[in-house]
Amino acid sequence: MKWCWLFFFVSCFAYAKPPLVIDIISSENFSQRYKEFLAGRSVLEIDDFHPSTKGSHIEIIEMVLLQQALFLGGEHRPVIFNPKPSVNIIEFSDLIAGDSLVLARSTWHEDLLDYKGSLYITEPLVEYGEYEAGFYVTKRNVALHDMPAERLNQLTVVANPRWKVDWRALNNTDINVVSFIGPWETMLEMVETNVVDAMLINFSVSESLVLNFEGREYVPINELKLLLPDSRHFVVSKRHPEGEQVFNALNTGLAILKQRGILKKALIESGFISGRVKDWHMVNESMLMRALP
Amino acid sequence: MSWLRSVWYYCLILFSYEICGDEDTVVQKQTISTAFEQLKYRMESEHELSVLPQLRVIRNQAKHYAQRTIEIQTILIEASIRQHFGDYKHSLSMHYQALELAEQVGKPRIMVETLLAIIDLELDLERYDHAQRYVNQATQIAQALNQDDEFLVHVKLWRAKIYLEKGSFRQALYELELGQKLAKNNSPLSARLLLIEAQVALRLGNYLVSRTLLNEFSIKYMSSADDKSQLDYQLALAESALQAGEFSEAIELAMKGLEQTFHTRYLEEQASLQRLLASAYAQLSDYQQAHLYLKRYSLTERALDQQKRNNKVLQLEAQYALAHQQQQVSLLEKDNAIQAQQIVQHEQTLENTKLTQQRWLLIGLLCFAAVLFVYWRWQNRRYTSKLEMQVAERTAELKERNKRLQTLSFTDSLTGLSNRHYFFSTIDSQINALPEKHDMIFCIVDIDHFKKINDTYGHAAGDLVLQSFADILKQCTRNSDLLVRWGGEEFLLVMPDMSRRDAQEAVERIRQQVERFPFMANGQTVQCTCSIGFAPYPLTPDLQEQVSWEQVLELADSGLYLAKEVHRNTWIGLDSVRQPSAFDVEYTLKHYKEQVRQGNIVVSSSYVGAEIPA
Repeated sequence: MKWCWLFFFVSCFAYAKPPLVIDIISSENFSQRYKEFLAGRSVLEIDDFHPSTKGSHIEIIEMVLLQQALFLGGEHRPVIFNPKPSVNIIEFSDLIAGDSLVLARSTWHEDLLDYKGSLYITEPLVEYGEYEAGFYVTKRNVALHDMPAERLNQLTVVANPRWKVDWRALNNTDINVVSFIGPWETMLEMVETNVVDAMLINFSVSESLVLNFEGREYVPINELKLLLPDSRHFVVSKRHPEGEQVFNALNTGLAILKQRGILKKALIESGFISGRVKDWHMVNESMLMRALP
Repeated sequence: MSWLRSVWYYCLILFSYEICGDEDTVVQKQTISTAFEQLKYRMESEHELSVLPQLRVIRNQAKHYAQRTIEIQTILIEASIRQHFGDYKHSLSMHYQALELAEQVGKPRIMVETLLAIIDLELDLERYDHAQRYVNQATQIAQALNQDDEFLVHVKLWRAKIYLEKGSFRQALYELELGQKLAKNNSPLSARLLLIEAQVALRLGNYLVSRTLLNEFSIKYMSSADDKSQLDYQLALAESALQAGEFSEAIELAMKGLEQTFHTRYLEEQASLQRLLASAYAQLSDYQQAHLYLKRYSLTERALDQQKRNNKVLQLEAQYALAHQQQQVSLLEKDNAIQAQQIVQHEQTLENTKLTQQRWLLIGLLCFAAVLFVYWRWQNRRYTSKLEMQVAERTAELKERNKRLQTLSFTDSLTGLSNRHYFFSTIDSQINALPEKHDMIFCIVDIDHFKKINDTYGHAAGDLVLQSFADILKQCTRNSDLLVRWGGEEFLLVMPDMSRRDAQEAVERIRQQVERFPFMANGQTVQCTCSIGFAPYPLTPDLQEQVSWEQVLELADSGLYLAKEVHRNTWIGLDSVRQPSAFDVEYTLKHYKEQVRQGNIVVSSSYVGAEIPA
């Protein structure tokens, strides 16, 4: 019933105000998968975040959460997604210039440091310590499936140095890192062809944690996980005329979602936080260290 | 002024080195120490290449006078200068040389100092795992020196720097907070901690915290800070302004910082400032300036990349050299192992050969011993059998001799008949062998008037008569009869298993043969007769126990005596006893003739027709 009222208000405002344009990455066909996920439902109705489409799911969930947060924060205008090339998005140039208002994709805090003066950074969508990844190896490479933490210095992992957080995480372990700047698929191919042993990937949504890519299967090394030591945030342009207003709405809404436990629920149901690896050994656990009391 | 003073010390050292002897060692050491302190004072302000010659002189002097601490410190200073000017290869080797010396000296302070210098270099080379290892080592030593917290603070500072470089900001903060607790207020160390803490805060996006820390640094330490710290401060301040969105201030601060980097080798900081300027201009929409600084940043970054690439190449070369060396060592080890294996095999072969030889020698010895034993046994047996043979021969010989002796002792040498000894030795056995109810006749034969023959013809003729007589007796007797020369011209004839009637015939035959035989004495025929007395044994079956053969022999002798007495050339033989129960043999022997006459004993005789005279 509650959601029906919300839908009613959104519809009313849709006719009254111009839509809110939100940038999304044009690649990876997010718009189509987003529609498939909604399957005719209103975005505000979504309370089951389990994946129903193939491919990475967190981006779809973030699009949903962003809208729900904006609405809860008082921003009731209809939303229009504006696909843009990933290069523009990574450099935040449009956001800095005020040409774009908000990005429907969370960003590592580390990547925003130089732009704190130009961008509003919301409360974290993913908090420090929540983001974990596995060392995915080919399923046929049975010898590595149960590799103990003490032997990690014998493991070679491919990583992109532009993914600063991944890079820092790996730098704080004994693992040998092979740097590669290029497509994600090529990195997986390097694992497939035994150029490297493993690749750092978010734990798969599937129950078995198996990642299936183009008919090939990859499994995480059992009982080992890596903390990606940073938090993820939405960003809003400071220079955009509606920036401050949207940022306030977004931050307020996120706080409400967090308070209601929706954020955590969404991250868990979407598979981003995997319950199956809860008790696995975090190889860079020391990076969780808190300051002195 | 400090320059002049240093040159003066330098000259002084050279001069004193030339002229001084061992007795001035203490003075020398003092001079070196003072000169080094002067040099250090200058070094604190800048990385000055011009001090290197003086530094090397001091090092040689320190080495000469075994001032190890100064020697290590001079090495570290030169290594630091080389590091600053990008000569990482020599810097690395000098650092390791210093570490080796420090380990030899065994002083914890100089050890920690050396390790921290190596950590600095390892961070430049981006070898974080090496740096981490050395910082752990330094921590252990510093903890043992806990009375002096300064070293622990140093270690904390470098640990924080490593975490900052590695991107583990929380750990860096933790170490810095620990360091601040240990550090003395207003000390240069505290200032360095503050500066690093400000940098960490910026990496975490806490520009407000960073500004507070930088402000504190500026007030307390800016005047005494070295070039590098001042530059770091400037950069951090500019970054704080950028994060705060104060782009113009950020640009101003960055420009100021950038000026400080000119004509220096602080390329990292220069690049950071240029990138910051580009970012600030871009966010101010001054894209022309942003582009300019982006280009400058790109150039600086390329130079840095080149430097890093060189370092990486250097590392790869070192790794390759190490791998190659390890491979060679491994090959050598394999060779050694193979050689060792061959030696072992050779030794084994030798051992086996020796064992085989020993075995064969033992077998040979055993065979030789066996042959010797067999030979000894053979010789022994041969000797034994020879001895046995000899013994047998001797025994046989002895037996033969005994037999001969016995024969001699039992034989009468003149007649060849048995003698009395033989008779006594054999009679008992013959009597025992006598079948029951068979008689044995004891017969004594005596040549009549033999004394006359001897007297007439001589003893030789008498002997011939005796021999002929014996021959006659032999001819007239059986093989089973025992014929004995009883003594002189008297012969005993024992005839076993002969009836009394057969005995009469036998003695008659003897008497007749003798009577008829022509005895020869000195070429003349001589007539001889003989008298014979005999008696049977047992005399009667009832008297066998009472009358012994000796008594029977005496009875025969009594018969002979009677025959001689009555006629000669006759024989008398006892046939039977009239009353055996009343027979007294002793009496009979004494009164034989009387007994015959009384008829108590019955005799037979060849003498017929005449009575036995009284």
